[in-house]
Amino acid sequence: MTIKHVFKMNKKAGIGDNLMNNVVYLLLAVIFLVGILVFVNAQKNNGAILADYYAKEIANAVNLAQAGDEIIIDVHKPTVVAVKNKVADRNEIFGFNNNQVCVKLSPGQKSCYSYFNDVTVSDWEIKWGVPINVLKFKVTAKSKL
Amino acid sequence: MMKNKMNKKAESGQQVMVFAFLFLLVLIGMGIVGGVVVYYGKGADFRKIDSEILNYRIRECLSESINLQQFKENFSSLCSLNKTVLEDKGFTIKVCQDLSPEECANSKESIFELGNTHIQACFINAAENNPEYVKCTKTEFFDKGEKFSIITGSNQRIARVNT
Repeated sequence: MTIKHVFKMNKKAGIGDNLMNNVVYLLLAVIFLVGILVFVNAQKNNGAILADYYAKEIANAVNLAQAGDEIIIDVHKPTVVAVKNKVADRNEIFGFNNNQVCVKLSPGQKSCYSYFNDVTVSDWEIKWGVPINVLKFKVTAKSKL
Repeated sequence: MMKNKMNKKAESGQQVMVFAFLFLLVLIGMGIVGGVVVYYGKGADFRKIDSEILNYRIRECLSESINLQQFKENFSSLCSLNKTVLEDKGFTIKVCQDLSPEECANSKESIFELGNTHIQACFINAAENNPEYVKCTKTEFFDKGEKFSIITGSNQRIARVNT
C-alpha cells in the first residue's frame, strides 16, 4: 500500500463523515421545525381561545342588532374545531340564554359572554356546509308580560 | 498512533458542535414559543368595542327621546338595554348635560348614572395600557341645541364555565 493510496482512503472517509454530520444536523433542524409548526398550529386552533373569540364576536353582533333582524355568521373554523375535539352534541356548540351567548368547542368547558341589548335570540341553528358552516339566528323584542 | 489521537480530537470537536447547534435550536424555540404564548394567550379584548357600541346606543336613544325626564325614567326600556347585565358585568355609564366629558366625570350632577366603577378611571392616561382598568368611550354631542356628554365603560370578562 503506497502513501498516495492511504490519502485517498482518508479523503473518502472524510466525505462520509461530513455527509453523516450534515444529515444529523438536517434531521435535527427538521424535527425542530415540525415541532414548532405543530405547537403554533395547536395554539391557533386552541378550543378555549377560539371559543372566547366567537362568544365575544357573536355578543357584539347581537348588541348591534335590532328586533326583527336575522343574523348569519361564518362559524366554519370553530365548528371544525368542535368536531375535531369530539363535542358530542353539535347543538351545544352555540347557545343563547339569559342575555348570554355560550360557545363550547371542547368537552367539559364553554365560554360565555353577555350582551346588553335587551332582546331575545331565537331559532338559532348551525347550517352545515352551505358551502361553509354558518350560524343563523333571529333577534326579536323581549315580550313584556 | 499520532494520527489516531488527532482523529479523536477532531471527533470530540464535532460532538461539541452538536451541542452548540442544539443550544441554538432551543434558544430559537424558546423565542417562538414565548411569542406565540404572548400573542394567543391574552385573547381578544372586546371591552373597548363594547363601550363604543354602548355609547352609540345611548347617543341614538337620547336623541330619539322626547324629553330628558322620559329618558331618565325609562332608560332601560327606551334604549332597549338590559339593566341587570349592565350592572352585573362591569359596565359604567354617565350622561351629563352642558358639561365636557372630563367635567362630567368629576361632577355630581348628571342626567343618568349606572355602574360601580369609578368613572374617573376613564381619564387616567396610564390606565389605557393596563388590562385591569375599565375600557372607556367618551363622546360629546349636540341635540336640539343642548350639549350632552356620554361616558361609557366596559370591564366585562369572558366567563369560562365547566359543563
